[in-house]
Amino acid sequence: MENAVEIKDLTKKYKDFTLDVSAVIPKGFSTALIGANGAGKTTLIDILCGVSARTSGDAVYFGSMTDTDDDGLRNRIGYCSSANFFPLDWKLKTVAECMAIGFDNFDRARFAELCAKWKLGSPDEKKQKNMMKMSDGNRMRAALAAVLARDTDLLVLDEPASSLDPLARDQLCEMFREYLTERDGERSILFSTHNIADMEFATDYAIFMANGRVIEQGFVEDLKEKYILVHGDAEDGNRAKPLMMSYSANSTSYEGIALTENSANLEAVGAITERPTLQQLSVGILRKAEEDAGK
Amino acid sequence: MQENKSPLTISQALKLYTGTGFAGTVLGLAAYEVLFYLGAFVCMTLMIMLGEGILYPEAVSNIAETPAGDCVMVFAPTLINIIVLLSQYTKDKPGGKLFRTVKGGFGTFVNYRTGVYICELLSMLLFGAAALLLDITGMAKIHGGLSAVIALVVSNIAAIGVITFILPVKNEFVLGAGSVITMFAITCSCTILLPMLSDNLIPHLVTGIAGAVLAAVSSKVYFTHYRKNRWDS
Amino acid sequence: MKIYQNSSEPIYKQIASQLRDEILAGKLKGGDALPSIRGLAQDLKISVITTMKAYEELASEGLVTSAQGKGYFVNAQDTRLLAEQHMRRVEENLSEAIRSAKIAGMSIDELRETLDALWALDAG
Repeated sequence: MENAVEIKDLTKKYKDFTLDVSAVIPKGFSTALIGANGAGKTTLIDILCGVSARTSGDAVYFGSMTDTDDDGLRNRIGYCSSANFFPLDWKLKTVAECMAIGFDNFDRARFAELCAKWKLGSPDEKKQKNMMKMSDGNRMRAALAAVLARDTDLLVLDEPASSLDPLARDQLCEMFREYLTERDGERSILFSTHNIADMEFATDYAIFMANGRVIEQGFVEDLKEKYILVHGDAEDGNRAKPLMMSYSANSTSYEGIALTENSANLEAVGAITERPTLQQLSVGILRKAEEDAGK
Repeated sequence: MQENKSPLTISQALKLYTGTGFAGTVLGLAAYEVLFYLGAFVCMTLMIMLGEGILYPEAVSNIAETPAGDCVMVFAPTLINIIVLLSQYTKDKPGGKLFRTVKGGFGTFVNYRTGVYICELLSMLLFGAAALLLDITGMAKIHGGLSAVIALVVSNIAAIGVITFILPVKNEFVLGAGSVITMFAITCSCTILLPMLSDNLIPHLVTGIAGAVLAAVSSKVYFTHYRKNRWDS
Repeated sequence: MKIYQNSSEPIYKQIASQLRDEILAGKLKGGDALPSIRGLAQDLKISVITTMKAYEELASEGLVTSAQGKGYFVNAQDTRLLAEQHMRRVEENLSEAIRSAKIAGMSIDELRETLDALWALDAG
């Protein structure tokens, strides 16, 4: 399968944090970057979009492009940061004018359409609120509308869902699928989140990060077959624990995830095994990372 | 790495970063400066009228007798120039990340900053013309007259040149306080001293040329430093 | 198409089984195109990879073929193969019926009678 981006040993060194990532972002799909706060998701996204510089390593975009300082690549990536993407004194009209200057492929009519759809008002109206007066959710919507009004090949969105209400998150998922469908198989999405539950049905590929590293990645359907969700009575916990990847227990029951190859052995010690949801899988994988880091 | 090139013009870059184009920025800055000056001048006149118990025209000519009025004139454009100069749109500021992804990248940033310098200079010229007009019509008097106005413009260039050197300071309080003090120290003393120094404009010319050279050098240093430490961080 | 989002049966299996039914019943004929994977995902409000997995499962059973860049197409169905598939389903369903009959305490004769009656009803 083709990749939209191939990341090879991309590193970024700070005084107290090191990012070191190798991963792929498959072409034609929506990829979620999942991890706790401080795992390095924003750092990785910023480097990929040319917002921050890397210490070393490569990222190859669309099979051949490598220079984030190249306008040809800039025009193909639709980037949006997690908060305050625009200066606070900007209005929708300013956004429309400035996006048209900053990028070659900004479609003002489409921007107006998306603003209307999300009830933000119109960029052509006389009286408009500036970003300062908008709610966090509306600021994010305005930023998303601006990015989606560009004709790009890769969307890179940092925490797009975190400031949105449940209805807006649903619309966001819808929007992802629309974006991918519009040019069947040619477009890709990368977005970060620390709460995957609401984005489960808009995620095809998942990259799990902890402490600046990728700890697991793969297509969601494959991961759901690789791992199983395990739970059972607290009494059997001690026998199940060695077979599990992540484990947590209380006085009545235990739960966690395990590799599917251990499912028969787990069932033999009285455990219940199920196919996990992406949310359950994330909790298990991230918990394991936390346990490993604590050791 | 490409050398600071951008497909965007200075005017486009300015519009992109600030939301306002070239003419709008120049006129806006000049208008703010003139209004600020008028407001401060009216305040001062009122203070003198009330304090000394004298009438309006007398109070105005009182102001014109000392360089105090010239100081008021210095305040307005100086303060506004600093505010504009200090907007660097670093990554942590709203819009900072967007500007790192637009066409031209750092080259666009350089064009934006260059645009800021040009706008400051042009708005200063407009302000100077307005201040002179107010002086001639007698609405607001300047002790040093034309000589003081020219001194203000040239010393502003010099002050901007000096402040550009301290722009890389990361602590915002130090940067803010430092640039305000520097700016006032330079512009106030020049506006008062240059007209006293001689009857011709040679000291002004020297200050202006020195200021322009300073600004050219410091902006070069600033861009190199900014690219290395802020942009590529 | 009907999808239970909270069912224990994975969504891709639900999609695959419904499409399989349509193919085996002849509603989807040889050469027919399946909906595009992204279009179907959009319609069903699910991930693209889920519909893709469903299609891959059908492809592995030989029911459909992927044409590079054009999507998935239904294969012309071999009548013998079709019959075999149906036979397997009959076996599955009868086994299910036997399990229920045992729980209900029915004898094999009673089960046969029920089958005869239902057959007659369907034919009638």
